Amino acid sequence: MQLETRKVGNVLVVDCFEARLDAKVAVDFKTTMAGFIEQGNKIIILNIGSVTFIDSSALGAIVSSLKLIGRDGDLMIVGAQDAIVRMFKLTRMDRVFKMFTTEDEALAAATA
Amino acid sequence: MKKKTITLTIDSNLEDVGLVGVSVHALGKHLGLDESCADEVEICVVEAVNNAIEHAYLYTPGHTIQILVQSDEEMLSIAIKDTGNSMEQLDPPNLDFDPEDLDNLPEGGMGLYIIHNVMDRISYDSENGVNTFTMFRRLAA
Repeated sequence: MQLETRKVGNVLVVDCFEARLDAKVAVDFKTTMAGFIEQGNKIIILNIGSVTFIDSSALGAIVSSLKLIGRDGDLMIVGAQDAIVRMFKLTRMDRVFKMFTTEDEALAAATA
Repeated sequence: MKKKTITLTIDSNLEDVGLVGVSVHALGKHLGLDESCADEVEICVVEAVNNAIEHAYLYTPGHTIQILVQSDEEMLSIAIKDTGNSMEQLDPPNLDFDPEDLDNLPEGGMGLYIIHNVMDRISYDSENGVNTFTMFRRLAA
């Protein structure tokens, strides 16, 4: 699972370098994200700019991460390519997640 | 136009599903689908094969899944064949959730919903121990 993290203030930025975010990596993704959250990271920006394909298993893993963060935090999505945005819209997850084009926009929203 | 047919075969292993996805994406484009339609067909075949691995074979590798891709002038059909547990229903799942209700956001059940919403028609039958889930997508004239 190719995830790299950076801390910007109290925000954890997670860069996902998997081209295919699918059932093969969904469990690993969910476990790794749960580790970040259990370390106390409540505001996470997930940069999926490198992702060219996402399936429902991976979407479910992202939803699971949001639930684990709970109401006192947030999980924001950054850099989704058109095909990925279409998947969020198709499954209505675009209504659940705040989605931004750039990390700066997400950081501004996170710290507002 | 003569009917074109190709059969792909993989093991019931999540590691290999991406191979089917990229292959069907390329086939879809070769047959005239635009990029976004090929993307949609790819996600549907991946979801259908994932379902076979999960429900028919309970994530056990070592079983065969066949993906039969056929096309004529008007229609692309993709049949996923397995010999595992058969499905009980093919009804589209309800994905009508409240985005503000964090606790009840769906984490599963989205695969079949996607297929129902993207494909023009789907069918399922189980005969002589072979389960066949078939998806149809109209090709542009």
